[in-house]
Amino acid sequence: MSGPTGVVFDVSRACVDDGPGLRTVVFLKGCRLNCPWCQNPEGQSFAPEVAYDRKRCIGCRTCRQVCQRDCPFDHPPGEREPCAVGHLCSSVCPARAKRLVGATYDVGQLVEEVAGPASDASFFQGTGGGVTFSGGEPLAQPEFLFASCDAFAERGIHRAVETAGHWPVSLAPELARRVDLVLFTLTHVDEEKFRQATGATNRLLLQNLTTLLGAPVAVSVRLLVIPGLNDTPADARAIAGWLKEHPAPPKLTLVPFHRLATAKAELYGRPFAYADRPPVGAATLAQVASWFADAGIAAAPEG
Amino acid sequence: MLQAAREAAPMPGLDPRVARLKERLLTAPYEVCLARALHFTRSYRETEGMDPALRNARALRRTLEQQRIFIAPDERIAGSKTEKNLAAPLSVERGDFLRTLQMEMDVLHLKRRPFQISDEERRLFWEEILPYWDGRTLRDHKARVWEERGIIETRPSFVQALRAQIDGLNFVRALGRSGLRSMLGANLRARRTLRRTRNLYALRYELARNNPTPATYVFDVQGHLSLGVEKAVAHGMDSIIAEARARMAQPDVDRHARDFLQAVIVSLEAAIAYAGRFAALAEQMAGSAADEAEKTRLLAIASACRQVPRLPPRTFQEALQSVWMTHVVGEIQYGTHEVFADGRVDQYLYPYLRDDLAAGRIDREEAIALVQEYYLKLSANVEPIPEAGMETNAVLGNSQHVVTIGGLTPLGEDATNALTWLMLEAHERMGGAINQLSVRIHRGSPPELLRRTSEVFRSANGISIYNDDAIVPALRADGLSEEDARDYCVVGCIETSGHGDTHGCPGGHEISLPAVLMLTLTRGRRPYRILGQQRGFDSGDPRGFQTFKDLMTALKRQLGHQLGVLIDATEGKDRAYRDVLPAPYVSALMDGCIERARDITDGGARYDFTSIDMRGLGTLVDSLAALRSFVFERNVLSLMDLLRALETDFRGQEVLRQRLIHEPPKFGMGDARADDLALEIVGWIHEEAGQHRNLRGGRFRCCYYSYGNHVLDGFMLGATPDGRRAGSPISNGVSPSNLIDSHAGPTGSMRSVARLPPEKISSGVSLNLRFHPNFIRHPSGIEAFAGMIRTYFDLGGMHLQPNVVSTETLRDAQAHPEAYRDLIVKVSGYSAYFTDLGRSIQEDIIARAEFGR
Repeated sequence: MSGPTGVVFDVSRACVDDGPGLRTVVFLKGCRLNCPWCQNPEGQSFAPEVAYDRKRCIGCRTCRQVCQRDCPFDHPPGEREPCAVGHLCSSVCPARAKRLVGATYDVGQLVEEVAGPASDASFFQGTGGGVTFSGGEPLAQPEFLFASCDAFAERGIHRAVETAGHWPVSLAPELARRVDLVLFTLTHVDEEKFRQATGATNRLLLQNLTTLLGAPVAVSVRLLVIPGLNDTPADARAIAGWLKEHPAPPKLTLVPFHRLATAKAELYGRPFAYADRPPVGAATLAQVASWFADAGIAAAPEG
Repeated sequence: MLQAAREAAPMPGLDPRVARLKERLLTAPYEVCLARALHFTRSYRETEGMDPALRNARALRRTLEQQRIFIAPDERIAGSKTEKNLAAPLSVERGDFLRTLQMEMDVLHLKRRPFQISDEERRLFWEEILPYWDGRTLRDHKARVWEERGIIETRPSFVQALRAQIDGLNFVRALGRSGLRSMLGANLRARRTLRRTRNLYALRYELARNNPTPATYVFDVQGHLSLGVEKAVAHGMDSIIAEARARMAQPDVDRHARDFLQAVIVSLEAAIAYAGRFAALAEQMAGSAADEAEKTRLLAIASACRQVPRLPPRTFQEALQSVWMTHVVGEIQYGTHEVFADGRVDQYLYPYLRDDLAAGRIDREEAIALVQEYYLKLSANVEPIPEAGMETNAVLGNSQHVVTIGGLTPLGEDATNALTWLMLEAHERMGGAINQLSVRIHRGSPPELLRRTSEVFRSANGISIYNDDAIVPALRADGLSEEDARDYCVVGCIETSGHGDTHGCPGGHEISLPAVLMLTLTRGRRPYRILGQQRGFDSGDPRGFQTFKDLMTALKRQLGHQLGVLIDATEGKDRAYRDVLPAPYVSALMDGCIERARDITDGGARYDFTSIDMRGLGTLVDSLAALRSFVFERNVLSLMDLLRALETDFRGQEVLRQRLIHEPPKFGMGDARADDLALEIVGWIHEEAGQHRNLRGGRFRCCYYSYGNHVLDGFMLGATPDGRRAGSPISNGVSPSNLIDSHAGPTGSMRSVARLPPEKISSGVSLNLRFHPNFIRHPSGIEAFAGMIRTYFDLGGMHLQPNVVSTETLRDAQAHPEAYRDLIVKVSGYSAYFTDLGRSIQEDIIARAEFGR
């Protein structure tokens, strides 16, 4: 391997909700936020880890033949320590019930997989698609992300990045220079509300969003509508007010909160924190959109 | 902006008249109607010794003259197939389902989807119909030819009979408790135990009559063609009669040819007279009509049926009446399983729509309703599938009468017109109809056509999409002229055919590729888990396979043998058709037949082919890739050890099975290591089949689709080296096996399939991919969906049939069938109402990879 490397937890083909056309989505592992609504629990930690799907397990105990140590999967979810011995079990599991999530790529390998001969590259042209980096937080591995973006740019491939914005402000101009589209997920502009939910400040992400909105790059701002966090008229007014401070306030795409990550979180032994929050329906989204309209910001459900 | 407007405006509703017609179709009880069988029997009895074409024409005429007719409420297009609302006639002269009906006559009302039949008809069946046909049906003739050639034994010896009984018991045992209940339940509930036992034996015995070898099928059916409806509509049947008379006057016409031409004339005159009966009935009903609207409806039918199909139509409604009357007489002539495609309806009906719209004789809504009524009529056929076939079949719409729209004109220009859009919309607003709409796309098609087609999947499945740029050159290579190739249409499931000029015989000559592999690995002895020991061809001792190449050589030897038997058996069937069951009515409409004064069964059509249909390509390729990797490259285990594991269905070897599933490359994931094997197999079969000619001098073409029989094949077949368990379905069409990882995406399957050279699969393939509705829930998703198909076609793909339906919906439909009566899915080639399908095939569809969640 040469040049910067990155930890990737999935390369998903033929996606339609992550930018224009048909996308190949590269999921980079690791994020410095800890949002309870996170839909990709496997993207939170930076290190490779083992997912264990009990439904696929055939009970052959091959994993036990290669590893006799105290296995985290023997403990109830929430009380598991990460594996200390290198995930041997996943390399021998015949049923792929245990599988190592997170592989180290160099730029060449990623380009080969996304745009090589056995890739979907021909479908990018026909659909106006391309590659989307998601996560985790792709900007948490900036060196690898930027080098990859440069490599895809050389091949004329459309590049998008999905981000929550929590990263050093120096990266924003760099990012804007390298990608065609930023899909920026916002939850709240109110620092206290954001801190209560995530334990982190939202100052970085707001500053980064401001920089990106002023930069020569397309930015799609997506508001993740979460019950109890940002689904009241007051929340809408606050968010709209902040957006309107910008010279060209962006349109908002409203994305509904859902609980599909519940089952996935289980594979990693982390309960989904918002498992009991109600999913958001079309009616709520329409309602939220109307509050934003009243506050002078165009907002519409995705599509 | 246009997009936003479309989003905002709700889709206009279904015309109440059409809604009632649809409801009536979906709630109608299934019936058996023996009127046709009775008239055919009586006519054939009177015409012994006559030329077979004339006998057929006379029987048709008698049926069309004497069968009771009716015009249903709300109908604006008249023409009934049987005397009952939704009934199966019996093609008694063909005999394919005769034995089944004989077995199940007493239990029809007990079937999972019961069929009603009157006591009087039951009596006629036992006392008059059946006794006459014993030994005289096409199936009997076929069996005799096969017997002469040593393909099957018709009269089993004592030992064979004993073995068959044991097989029968194995068969029952292998079905398991639930399979037993569903497949034989009706029989078990029948009271007469003696007949029941006999039936079981007869069933086992009948199955063999379709199987020259355990890996091949030659069904009795011929049919499956593009009916020359356009000819009847455009010129009127009077002009075809005149053509036949003129031909008869020419000096080269011998007695046999004259009889054929006479049969053509008798058939067409009978069709015209049949329309006349509807005109008279409509006039009579109009006389006592309750109100003015009803009277207008009936008088319009009367006026149309006086005009067509005798003469060319004057209006769009008359044109559709002409199409339907021409079609329904074809159905009556053929009986069952005819699978007649009406072809490029949007092309030959467009002038009538255009003129009506211009003159203000019709508005667009009215035209849509008429088209929808026509779709429903095409769907309104049922088949009393033998209980043993229920698991893998649909009852309603069993005979697929597919309609083709879009594409190129014969001169190579874009053929899209106002009727193309209208027919798409008619399908969309009806939530689909069971007949499939086939949409042809070429590089110069308006991009909107593919986008709009993609959008229709939000409301309706049941559309297949075809790539002219791959298919036209492939048909050219088959010998069609440039213009005829551009004018192709789709027949049956996915079969490509010339339009009204091709006797393509694409149905009923089939090979299960995984079974051929298992024959290779067992020296021809034990491919099946339930049919027991069969005679088989020994293609070499697997213990002698030193390299993967040795295995491939033996596989090709075995495949060559199976193809040879299949071709021989097919010739036997074709001979029986030619000698005892010509199709003069169909021939009358087929280009070439009158000119050559020959029936389609005797090489009259301008183009003649037979297709060999391969099933389970994915399962075969995955199995070969697994063998190559585990046995020959990595030496994980010996071939004999693997065979032992297969024999016990991986008992105690689950780890091995999982490794076989996960480690080797698989077909349909864009992986060249597997795809290259598929290319090798497909190329070899094409070359081998190309060495042969059918009875009529036509070429053998290859196709890869499996309607529902991949489930039946899988049910009979033991475990395979790809990790597939005994009894579970083999892969369908050219689709990847259900064992693949959906991770490679739909695009992976498309990349694999697009590599198959069209000229080697020219008769058609079915790539069946299932998408979650989320994929196209947004306009941007629809664009991407359309762009994805466009790219697949640019890569060389011939065909795609998407199913856009979620696993949750399918599960819910299983639990609450009454709420999902109009849910349509593609099986492998054909469309069906999901709740009408057997449980095994429902499970197969659910097990397919679901993309775009």
